[in-house]
Amino acid sequence: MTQYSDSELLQRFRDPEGNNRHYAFNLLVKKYQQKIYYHVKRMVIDHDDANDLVQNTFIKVWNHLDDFREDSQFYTWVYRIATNETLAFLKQKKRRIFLPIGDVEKELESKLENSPGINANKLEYELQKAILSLPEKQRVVFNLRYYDNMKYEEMSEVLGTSVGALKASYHHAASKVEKFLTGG
Amino acid sequence: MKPDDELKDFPRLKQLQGNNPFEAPEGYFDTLSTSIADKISAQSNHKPVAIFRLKPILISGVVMVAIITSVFVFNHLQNKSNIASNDSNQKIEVTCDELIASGYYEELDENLLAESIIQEPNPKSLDAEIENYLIDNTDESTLINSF
Repeated sequence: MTQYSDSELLQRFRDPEGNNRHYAFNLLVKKYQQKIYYHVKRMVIDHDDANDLVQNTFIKVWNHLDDFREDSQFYTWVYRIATNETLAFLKQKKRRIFLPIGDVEKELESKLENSPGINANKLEYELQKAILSLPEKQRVVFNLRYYDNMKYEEMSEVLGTSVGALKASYHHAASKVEKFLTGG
Repeated sequence: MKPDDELKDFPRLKQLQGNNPFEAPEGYFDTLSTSIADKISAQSNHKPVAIFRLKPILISGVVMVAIITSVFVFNHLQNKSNIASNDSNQKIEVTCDELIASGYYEELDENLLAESIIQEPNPKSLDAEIENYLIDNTDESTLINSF
């Protein structure tokens, strides 16, 4: 399969005759589906929830792609939509079940232990538990940097936060997680 | 600074970096784009109608429903009052019929009827009372002079 750049695919999507619209979008989905799925799944743990959120994310991308002005990269724009969807989902979940934040974390922890979609040794489980103990936005920062190796400038596009604040947030998060793992 | 360099003070994190313990169900990514495409085409088939387009239809609908409801309620109330007045008339008729049919009038005590007539003030006795009052309380000379 020919690997098109994002801007080539966007050009095809915006073809005035509209012949390549679905084809170009399909290629964009295939290009980013795995990254977006794992980004969301690290936050919500459950596959069904992650699947719904990923699908909603790409439907939103489809609905708003004509308005996307390419002020930011397409890839960070998709990440931004996925992150917002995920954070809104977690917020709604807390409101719906009227539970304190700690109980939602416990629920996610129990999903972590019982979910079939996790292949981890004991230390990796502990790492995931430590990450779950972080505040949600800090968790996003940690995951984007630690797992996706995203640059701070790109993270800034995703989260709308300054690079300096993101660096500090990541350092704090890494420090907390390390302490959790070493029992310090 | 590279992500690796940032972790030099966090040996456990450095040790575990690069491992992704999360998995997707088998074949999930082969079908995901099709599922999304299906949802998108279903969405475009059932595109929601913009609310501003619905507004005139909604308003006229609401007005129609209000008119029909008020006509219905008015008729209903009028029917109810007609039925109520018919009922009361019927009751009187039925009562009279029943009374006649039951022979109530034939059984009436005549003495009781006579007593009730006697107890009513008699206009003739009233005139006599006035006459007596005038005789008792008026001076005779005044009476003679008045004629």
